[in-house]
Amino acid sequence: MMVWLWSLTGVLGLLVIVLLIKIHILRKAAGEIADGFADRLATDTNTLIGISGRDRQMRRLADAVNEQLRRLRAEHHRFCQGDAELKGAVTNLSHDLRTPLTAICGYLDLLEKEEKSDTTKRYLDIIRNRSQLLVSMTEELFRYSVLLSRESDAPAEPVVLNQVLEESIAAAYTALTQRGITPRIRMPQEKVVRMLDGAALSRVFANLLQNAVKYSSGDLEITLESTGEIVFANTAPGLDEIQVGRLFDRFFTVESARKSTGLGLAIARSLVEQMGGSISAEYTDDRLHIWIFFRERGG
Amino acid sequence: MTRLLSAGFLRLKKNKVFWGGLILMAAWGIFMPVKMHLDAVQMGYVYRIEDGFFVYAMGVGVVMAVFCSLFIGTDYNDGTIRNKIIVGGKRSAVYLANAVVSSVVGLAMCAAYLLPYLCVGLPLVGGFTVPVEMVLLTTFTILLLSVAVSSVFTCIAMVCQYKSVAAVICILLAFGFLMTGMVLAQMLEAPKTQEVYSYAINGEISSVEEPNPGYLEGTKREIVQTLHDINPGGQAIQCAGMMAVNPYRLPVYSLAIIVLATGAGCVLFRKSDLK
Amino acid sequence: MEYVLQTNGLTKKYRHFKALNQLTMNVPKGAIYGFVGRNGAGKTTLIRLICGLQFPTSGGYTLYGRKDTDKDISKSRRRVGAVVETPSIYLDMTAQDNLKHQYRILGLPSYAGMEDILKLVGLADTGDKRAGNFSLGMRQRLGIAIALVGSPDFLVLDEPVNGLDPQGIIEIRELILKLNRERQITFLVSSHILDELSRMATHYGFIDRGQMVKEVSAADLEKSCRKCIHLEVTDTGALARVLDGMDAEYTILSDREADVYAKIGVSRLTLALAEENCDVISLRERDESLESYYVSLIGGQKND
Repeated sequence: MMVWLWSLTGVLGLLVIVLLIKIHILRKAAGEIADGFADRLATDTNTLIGISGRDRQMRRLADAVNEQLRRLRAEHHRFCQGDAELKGAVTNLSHDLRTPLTAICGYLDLLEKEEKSDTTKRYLDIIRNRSQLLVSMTEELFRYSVLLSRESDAPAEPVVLNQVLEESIAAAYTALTQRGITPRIRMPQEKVVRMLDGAALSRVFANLLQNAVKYSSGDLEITLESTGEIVFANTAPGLDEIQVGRLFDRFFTVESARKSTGLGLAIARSLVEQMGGSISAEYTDDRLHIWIFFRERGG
Repeated sequence: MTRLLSAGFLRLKKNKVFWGGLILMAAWGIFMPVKMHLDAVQMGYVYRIEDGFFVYAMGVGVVMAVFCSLFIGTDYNDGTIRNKIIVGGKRSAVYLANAVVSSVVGLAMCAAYLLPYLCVGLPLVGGFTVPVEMVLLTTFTILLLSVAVSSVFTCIAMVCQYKSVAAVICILLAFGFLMTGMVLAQMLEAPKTQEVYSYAINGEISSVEEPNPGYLEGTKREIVQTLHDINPGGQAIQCAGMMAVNPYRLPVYSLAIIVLATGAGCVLFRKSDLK
Repeated sequence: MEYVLQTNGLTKKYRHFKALNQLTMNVPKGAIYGFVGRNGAGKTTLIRLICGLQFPTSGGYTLYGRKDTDKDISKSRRRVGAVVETPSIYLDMTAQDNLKHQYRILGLPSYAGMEDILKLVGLADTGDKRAGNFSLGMRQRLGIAIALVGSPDFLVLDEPVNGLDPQGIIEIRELILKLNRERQITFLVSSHILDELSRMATHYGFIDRGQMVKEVSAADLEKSCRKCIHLEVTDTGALARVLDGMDAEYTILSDREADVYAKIGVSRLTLALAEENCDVISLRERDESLESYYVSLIGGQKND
């Protein structure tokens, strides 16, 4: 009699253990789905979620989540491919444009030397002007395409921000004064040094200054903080929040733009981010502020 | 580890050696009571159902030796163990999954014998005549024994990275267990006294008995008995013949073997270099 | 620059043989990294180490930013797929069953995508055929299919075109390029067939006797491969004189042909040759082949 009682107890005990294990596995699977989902969203990965146990409902849930992850991933891939194709197209275009332009300029030069009437001369000057513009825009497009395909391991050397900023402002001085803009500059006494690509930095400042020349309504304030923050501020009426958000998008230009490809700020952003810095824009009280920040790299 | 187990069981379902072993054990389980019944009918022997109920203990060792070495050895020969490690499977998880699958197969082999045996035997030969506690205890001991030999063969197969070598070692070991068991059993069965000579006086035959020098006594007997109890082959022989001297110690020894074999195998596997 | 794999002074010693000796390697994200070396240079050993099959004697590596000794290195490994030496497939199971087995190992909740993988590698209609009856090319492809089950971000292929026929080689190459382009999968491909690698690699790592001799991107390699001008002239004697005068490095191939390795002004050369009454019949610019670059690189190593 006792034997059967003990056997029954044994069997029931075994059943309890089996159920406990099953519950444990279910909970583990639920945890894996939650953690896996968060992880997949945060990381750039192709992998999908896997779970412990073979419970049908848990697998259905994981499957549903995986399906969404799969779709998200496919869109990401489509974007990457599209982006790569666009970059390829831009590079090819910039190359293709140069050939006929070179011919045009060549023949224009020849025409210069020919005898011509005053009207012809006037027409030629205008053509020459426009073709110069075309050349500079093509150059900018070409530089942009080089930038896109360039690998971001340009040499980083210690660069004195004060110095580069001063040089860039000096270079743009004539253009600024021509438009009647007197820049107000504020820099700390001590040198602010960061590990950057000097040439790229000059280009960034040049583009921002060019931007100010084109769009400022008369003033320009340039500030360099010892924290590594640089601010370009100018009055620019007529802008709104949405435009400011898209300022750094490639090919974006505001209404009052003239003779611009819209690439200047996009190039600036690319370069700043490649050097490990950050760039942003804000618009308050009719004034546009562009912030650039380079972190101090430790070690 | 559940994932590896799930994968292992998928493989198991398609494994010919597994199904072959099950069929073999089932056939044996059907054959035994049928033979007993036929013998009883033809020659008048009286069998009881428990006479053949525990015999499978002796076969489990060999079947598991073949299965474990082939099942685990394939992972090495085909290189598929790498698939588990490359995607991040932890060494201990891989080992334990294999150990669990082997143990489950061991239990399944036992069940494959027992269930057909009971189904065929109870109607043909009759019910148990020995106490139920003894039957349950012995069955439990044999089940634990099959898990113990599975863990030993798993250890060998996991550490030795070649299927054929592992198979040879496991099978030799399985037979080795049984041989050792038989030798020790014989030593222990030696009678206390033996007949030296007999004489007849007035038609009456008397014999002089002398103590048998081959008879084991005292500490010597204890040692030999303990070895016999620890040896899986020895356990199998004792259970098969319902002659266990220390029936409550046997499961403990099996448990110890499981822990030691699995522990050692796991430690060795963790540090090994895989091709 | 984000790196998928970075090794740091990786060393592996087998009893008395040093297979890897302070090897450093950097595989950038999105690259097809061609791993070049002789048989026995240590390619397979390195792959075994980074896949977790074996442990380094000293040194370490990081996989997706996690060190190989980290507790949760398995999270990084989850993103890796590999085919090491011979494909790891169960020979007595069908292609589908092999994939199903891998699905379970990863704990994936369903077999969704299995048909697509088989179609991608070209094993869609193998049906009930056991993997043991596959041809070598089919086995290689099944090995890759198994590696693709986990949707990896990083695929390590150890001599994937070993023993394949030309058709098979082209198919594998196309597959690698496709996966790299469409799914942004980073590849580490080891091979001793330079020609094949040069058609798809974006980065190269040259290994010899367990050490990394040189790591270079395809673009930089092209720049440093010596360009040469192959000239056919009427008088190589005159050519030799002129080139010596220009202090240019050259090789005379026959009495009418020569290779010039220096950068010379073609107009200058032709005019100078004309003065010596030597005509230039043809002129061709040629890149030094990857093979000769490798030979000179390793040969230089030998002479150290």
